Amino acid sequence: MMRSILKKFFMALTGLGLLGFLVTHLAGNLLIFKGSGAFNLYADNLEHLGLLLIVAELGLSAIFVAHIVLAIKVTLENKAARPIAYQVKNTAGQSTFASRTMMITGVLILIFVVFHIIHFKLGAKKDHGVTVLWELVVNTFSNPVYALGYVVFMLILGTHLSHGASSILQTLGILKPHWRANSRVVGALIGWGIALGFASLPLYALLVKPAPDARPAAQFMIMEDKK
Amino acid sequence: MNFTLKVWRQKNASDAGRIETYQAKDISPDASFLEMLDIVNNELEASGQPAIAFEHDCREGICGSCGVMIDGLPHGPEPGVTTCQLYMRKFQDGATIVVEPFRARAFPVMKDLVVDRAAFDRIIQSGGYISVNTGNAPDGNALPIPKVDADKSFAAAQCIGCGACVASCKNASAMLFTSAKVSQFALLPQGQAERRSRVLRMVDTMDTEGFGNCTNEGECEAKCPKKISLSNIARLNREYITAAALKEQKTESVGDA
Amino acid sequence: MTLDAKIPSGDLEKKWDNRQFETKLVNPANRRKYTVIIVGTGLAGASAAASLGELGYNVQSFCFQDSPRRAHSIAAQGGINAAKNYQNDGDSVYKLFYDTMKGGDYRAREANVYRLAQLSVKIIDHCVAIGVPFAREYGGLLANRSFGGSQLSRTFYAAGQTGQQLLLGAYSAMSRQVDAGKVKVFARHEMLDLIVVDGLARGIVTRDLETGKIESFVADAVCLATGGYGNVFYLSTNAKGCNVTAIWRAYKRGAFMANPCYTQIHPTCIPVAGDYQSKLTLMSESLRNDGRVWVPKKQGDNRKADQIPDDDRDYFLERKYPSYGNLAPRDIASRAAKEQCDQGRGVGPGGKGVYLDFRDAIKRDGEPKVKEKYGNLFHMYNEITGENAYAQPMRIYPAVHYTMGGLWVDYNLMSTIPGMFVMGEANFSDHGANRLGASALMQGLADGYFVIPFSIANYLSTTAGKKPGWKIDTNHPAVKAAEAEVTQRLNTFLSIKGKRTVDSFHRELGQLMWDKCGMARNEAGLKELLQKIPALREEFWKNVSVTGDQGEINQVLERAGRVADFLEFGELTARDALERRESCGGHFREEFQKEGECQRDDGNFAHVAAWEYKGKDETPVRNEEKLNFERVKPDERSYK
Ligand SMILES: Cc1cc2nc3c(=O)[nH]c(=O)nc-3n(C[C@H](O)[C@H](O)[C@H](O)COP(=O)(O)OP(=O)(O)OC[C@H]3O[C@@H](n4cnc5c(N)ncnc54)[C@H](O)[C@@H]3O)c2cc1C
Ligand code: HEM
Ligand code: HEM
Ligand code: SF4
Ligand code: F3S
Ligand code: FES
Repeated sequence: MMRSILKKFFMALTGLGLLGFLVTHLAGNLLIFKGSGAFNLYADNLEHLGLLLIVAELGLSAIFVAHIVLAIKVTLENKAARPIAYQVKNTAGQSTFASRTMMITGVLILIFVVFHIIHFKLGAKKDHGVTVLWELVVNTFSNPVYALGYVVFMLILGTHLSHGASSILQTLGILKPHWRANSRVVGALIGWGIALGFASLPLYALLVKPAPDARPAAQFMIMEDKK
Repeated sequence: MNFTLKVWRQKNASDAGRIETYQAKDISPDASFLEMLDIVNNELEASGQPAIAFEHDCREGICGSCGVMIDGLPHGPEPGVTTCQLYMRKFQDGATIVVEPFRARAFPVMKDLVVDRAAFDRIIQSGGYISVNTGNAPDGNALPIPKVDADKSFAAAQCIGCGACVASCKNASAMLFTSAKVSQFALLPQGQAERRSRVLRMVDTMDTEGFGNCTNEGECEAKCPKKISLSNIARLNREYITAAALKEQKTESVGDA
Repeated sequence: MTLDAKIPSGDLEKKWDNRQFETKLVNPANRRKYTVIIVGTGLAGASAAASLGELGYNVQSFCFQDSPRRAHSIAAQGGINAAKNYQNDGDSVYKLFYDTMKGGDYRAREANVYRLAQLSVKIIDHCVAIGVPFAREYGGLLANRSFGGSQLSRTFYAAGQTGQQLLLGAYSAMSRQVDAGKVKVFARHEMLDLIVVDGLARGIVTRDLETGKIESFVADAVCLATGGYGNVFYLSTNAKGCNVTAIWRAYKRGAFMANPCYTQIHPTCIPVAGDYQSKLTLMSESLRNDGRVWVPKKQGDNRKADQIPDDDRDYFLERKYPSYGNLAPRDIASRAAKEQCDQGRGVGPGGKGVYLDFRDAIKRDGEPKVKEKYGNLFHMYNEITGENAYAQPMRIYPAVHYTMGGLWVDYNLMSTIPGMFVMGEANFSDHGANRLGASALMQGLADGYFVIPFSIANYLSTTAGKKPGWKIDTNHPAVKAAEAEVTQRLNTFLSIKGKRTVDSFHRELGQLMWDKCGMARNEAGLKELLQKIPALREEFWKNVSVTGDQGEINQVLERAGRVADFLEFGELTARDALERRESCGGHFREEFQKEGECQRDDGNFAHVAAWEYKGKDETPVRNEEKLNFERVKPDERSYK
């Protein structure tokens, strides 16, 4: 049986891995602000990574599954550790809404991700051999239901990450006492920064309703190649 | 002052238990929480009813015997004190106070507010010591220890084993308690020889006793009467991970018998 | 009966070496055949369990708390003495020996005290080795402070939690032996009787405090380390569970009780605030290093402390004892405070208090420095009284703290029942009529870590095992008889179903003891006690209300048993105080004084009084062990 501390160690590592993915994913997605050409080019470049992309995707999936399996195990054990609940629930002010709901926010993220992949990854269409992702995303978010739905999920993600990110150093055992006071703040900043970064995209699409670049993506690419 | 108490009563480990209501009348604001319970108990005894069982001994915050949940918080609302050091002046006159036992699978309730915390002893017995036989130890000053390290070690060593950390943690985790002992020795040169086997074994026991995993809630530190720092948990994590990575042989029993 | 203290031959300095050399040993293979019972897991009991376990004996360790780590030793605050002379202030084994003899008002055995001073040095070394985090200086070396009754800095400490750190050290050493399978801990077990077979101590009867089960344990030797009996006064600085039961049961089985009247009243406790109060809290004596004790010069001066100018303050300890000042020994400081209050100069509610003022220390060293040294004590004081001692002086008053008396033991710590050893505060051995600060921890650990291993080896190799039919089991008739007595007594408590609570009896006894046998005693008062205590006891057995059942956790029943024993023990204490017609140390007879100071009578009382039980309703017999002073000349104990 894996000891508590190791379980938590791997949760933190996988969480860190997922966080790393989110940062790159966000960075890529922010290209949406630069317009359809830039974003679609980025998506296409990614696609052209081929095997490398598949390996990365498999790795990411493994990390994700590991994180979830550990999460379920840890949560079940923690529930079992206090079979009879207190009559009065109270806190000394350290535990947060986020920390108490990690499993719930986690499951919602999982649901989101499944839906998200079906929609954006499997639902992507091609135009002149180039995936017109920018259009897909912007179109999707022009529907207020989708846009607001995404924003809500991003709030959930932010909640998960605000505790998760602040936890990592402590769990990995590298938190120094004098950073402690700041670690919660920094964690929250990272978590909410990522979540709000993502949330800005549906809001942008919904409120600004940007139009695609005049040039089709394919042209754009040819131009780039000439440089 | 007057209070309405809602107290968990449970005849023994197999009884289901229930909350019962008592009135505490004419309590001096300078009385401690336990002295208030004494007064209620004396009334019960005088009228031939069984007294409320609760643990206590030193009544000055050092033995770690006392400890009940008061309105959902171990040792009550004040930070940095034990139940015996909690004074009634901290409560509103006329308040209703709910008193429950500490709850954790590893701390079964034995009667009323008394729980079995022997799991803590078993954690210490699985390595919470330095193996030196009584006899001719080297001179106490043969090995200078930087004051900072000695002070940090002492800060961790102050744990009184009350169990409030477990009681306050939503996961009933014993990480703060275990980390305090591991840290005390990890910080001292005397503790180095057994540093790895100690942390591996103590965490093993901690887990098998049925305590939960730490998800970094921080409630334990906030409710620890000795303010044992969460940085000890970080240290415990670090110590454990290093020891596990270096795959130190686990010593099953380190006595010399 | 003549009491043979079995003091080793030779010069004082050589006695312990000689004893170690003469001691018959048990070879390692045989040790595992022997079982030793140790009742008590305080400093004395836990250290003994550890050291005997290390040697290979099978140890059974008992305590009434839920964990051995909670023994009352955990509460000791100030520190532990050792003649290390790390401070180069002229300390030596001889000096510590001399201070302890003088501190005890020349009523202790020289040989024991000398051994104690010798072992003090090894205790520190051992404790450091097992990871006790003592306070240190910036250079990394051990720090020291001074304590009452000494002009040297020889006290080692860990903030205000020295007892805790030492006990947790002993507890961890003992836990190591549990891990090794050599020590078995029976927590939540209260010893209710001693089993004596053919005149030798062979086991104990206990009540399992969880299930109520009466169980017997037999062994080759029994050690009691059950602490002090200060709670006979109801209010004391002791933990609520401290009791006389174990040693009282042993007394009734034939062990002699020595000097029960020597009680130490500690000068620096938080004054009593109300009748609901369940215990008194000690403010460590170390505070007197920097705090100055005073009262207003005018009677009934109602001004706030900081409004009273220095000219109107009486720093009475500094005035009366200029060379020791605020560090005068406990008995002397306590009586001086009582004297001021009796003269109407006391402060606080009921005029029962004197000031302990840190104004000057804060002015000199700054608040942070004072906070570093005493922060936790100031915090504790604030929690209890709601007052801030950085801004206004603490109020303190004497309270019962320590009991020098206890079961009589010889140099080897063996009682008058062979095979029963007594260690720590439970014995009478090393402190005479008054104990100096920071020396109880020293004694407990000396007894447990260093003395008992020799005594046990000697006893087992010369007595036990040599007899045919030595091994007995719990079916032995003596065991069954003891069990039956215990059960019957418990059933009696439950069947009385009277009207008065156990606590109310305890409180009344305590008040009687404090009034008549407390800081000052006189013949009339003691005689009155000898009338009143038996009457109270009689009422107890008719009218006590003990609720709940036997077969469960029943704290009322536990308390009833302890109070019943206090009700008998209190009488013996009064009797001892009455018979000791002199004043010495903690025993102050008003008839024997010189301007408020103790007046000893070395001609008639330079002895230990050891009481022998003669049966229910019989008057106990007072035996004497003469004290011989080869080295120190008992003189007037002056701290002026
Ligand atoms: C507040 C306070 C502060 C002090 N500070 C200092 C100090 O600074 N320096 C110093 O040197 N001394 C100090 N002392 C004195 C010192 O702490 C004690 O004298 C010493 O710790 C006694 O140790 P012990 O091992 O003899 O007994 P204890 O620690 O009292 O242990 C008694 C043990 O016996 C067990 N026991 C008792 N009765 C039974 C029974 N019937 N059945 C089963 N088990 C039983 C208990 O469970 C416990 O384990 C202080 C005392 C107090 C009260
Ligand atoms: C992008 C997705 C996710 C990221 C970036 C992420 C990140 C993190 C991080 C960094 C932690 C803190 C680890 C630590 O204790 O140090 C954490 C904890 C946790 N995660 Fe996730 N997680 C994600 C998805 C999920 C999912 C899908 C679930 C569940 C189905 C989940 C459940 C949990 C739980 C229960 C914890 C709590 C454990 C703890 O606080 O220690 N997470 N997560
Ligand atoms: C609003 C913000 C988001 C937008 C606009 C967005 C957009 C996209 C798009 C367009 C794709 C498909 C193309 C690609 O592979 O890059 C994609 C894939 C993916 N997204 Fe998002 N995403 C958002 C937020 C998230 C979040 C919060 C998560 C995780 C919690 C997430 C996880 C994934 C995953 C796992 C894939 C599949 C990656 C792969 O297999 O290559 N996305 N996203
Ligand atoms: S860590 Fe704190 S709360 Fe936990 S047992 Fe120790 S003293 Fe009590
Ligand atoms: S409250 Fe519990 S989750 Fe960890 S930080 Fe403390 S043990
Ligand atoms: S009774 Fe000892 S800590 Fe409260």
